[in-house]
Amino acid sequence: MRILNSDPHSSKEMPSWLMGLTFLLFLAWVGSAIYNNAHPAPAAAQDLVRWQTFSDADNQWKRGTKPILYDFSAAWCGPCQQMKKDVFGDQKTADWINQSFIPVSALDRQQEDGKNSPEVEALQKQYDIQAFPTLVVKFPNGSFKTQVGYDSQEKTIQFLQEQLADLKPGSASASTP
Amino acid sequence: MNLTLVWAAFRRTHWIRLALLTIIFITGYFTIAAEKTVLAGEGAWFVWVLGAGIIGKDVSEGVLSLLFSRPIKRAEYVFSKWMAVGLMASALTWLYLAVGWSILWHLNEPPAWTQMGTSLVLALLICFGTSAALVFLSTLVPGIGDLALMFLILLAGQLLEWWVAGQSWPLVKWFLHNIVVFLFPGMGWQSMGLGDISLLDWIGYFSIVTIWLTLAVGMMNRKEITYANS
Repeated sequence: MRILNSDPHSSKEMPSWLMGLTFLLFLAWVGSAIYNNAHPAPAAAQDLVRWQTFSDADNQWKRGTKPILYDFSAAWCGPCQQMKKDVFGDQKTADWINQSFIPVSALDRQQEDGKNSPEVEALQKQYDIQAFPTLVVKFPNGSFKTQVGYDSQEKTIQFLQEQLADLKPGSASASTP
Repeated sequence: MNLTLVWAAFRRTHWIRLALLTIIFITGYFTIAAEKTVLAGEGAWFVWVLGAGIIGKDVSEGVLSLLFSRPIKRAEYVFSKWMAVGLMASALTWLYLAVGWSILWHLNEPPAWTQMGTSLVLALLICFGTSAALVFLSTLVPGIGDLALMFLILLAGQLLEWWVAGQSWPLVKWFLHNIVVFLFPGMGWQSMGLGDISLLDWIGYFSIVTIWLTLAVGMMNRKEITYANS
């Protein structure tokens, strides 16, 4: 170990390997971040859910046949991408969601754009969103249930099934994915 | 790394630390039973409970002047403290995970083997990452001031984040948003498989850890330690 200190009796030293490693890793970190920003990778998971616009979803919801499923997520959020891959990217589950819910994606753009669309901002305030991902199921009577975070595909499907079970029979598809 | 220093840190027990660890285990039981999941992120708590004042206490108790009268380099001292906290916290986190998984089995909610393997690796990453941040903060303030400093940084970061919410300062926002990532490296990977962590995130993790350690060694080198001081 070469020491960056001329006094051999001094306890002060800065190991050159640590300095070099720190510098190289930091350079690689910044470099790969810049590269990733310039060459965004194609979406890792194909999202198979047919997300509705906010106004379309509201109009459908007013008919009182299906609950709205809000997905509050962000591009930088790892667990959100995992949920997208496991739940919304799974054909069977996505078909079931499309059939049973009015799916709406409320993507947070605060970090990327510095602000969110007024609709997303209003929804985040309305449902007091503190973390991503958060799923909110808004029932036809206006009440709602939330799931904060992502644990597994099974638990997310179980949460959604429980919400459908609370609905009156016939108001939404009772089938399972 | 100096094994004697690591061993000395292992023996640094206090009834308050033991009481806090007991509280974490007891509250953890209720959390696991309610949420049916065990998270490796508890490791960060163990790091702070076990490691608060890991260097600061040596400074405030005047141990350093005696310690550095022996042929020990300050970098070696910092690495030993980091290793000691990381190892202790990792061992406790593994114990916590094992207890948690036993509870889940008892509740007929057995976790997947892959999830268990991932949690063991994540526990190591979170514990050693958080220890690096703790060791640096501990070089800045005496006693267990590092704990107060960590809470102060989190609080200031949150307040500033609210304050800049309306501004268009993407770099500042990115930094403030990632304060938790800097203080608790690896924490955000809890619900991911190891294969889903990107190369950028791995490089970022190791970069953050080496930066904390380099800064900690740099801060230790700046300290004037003499008998007159203590």
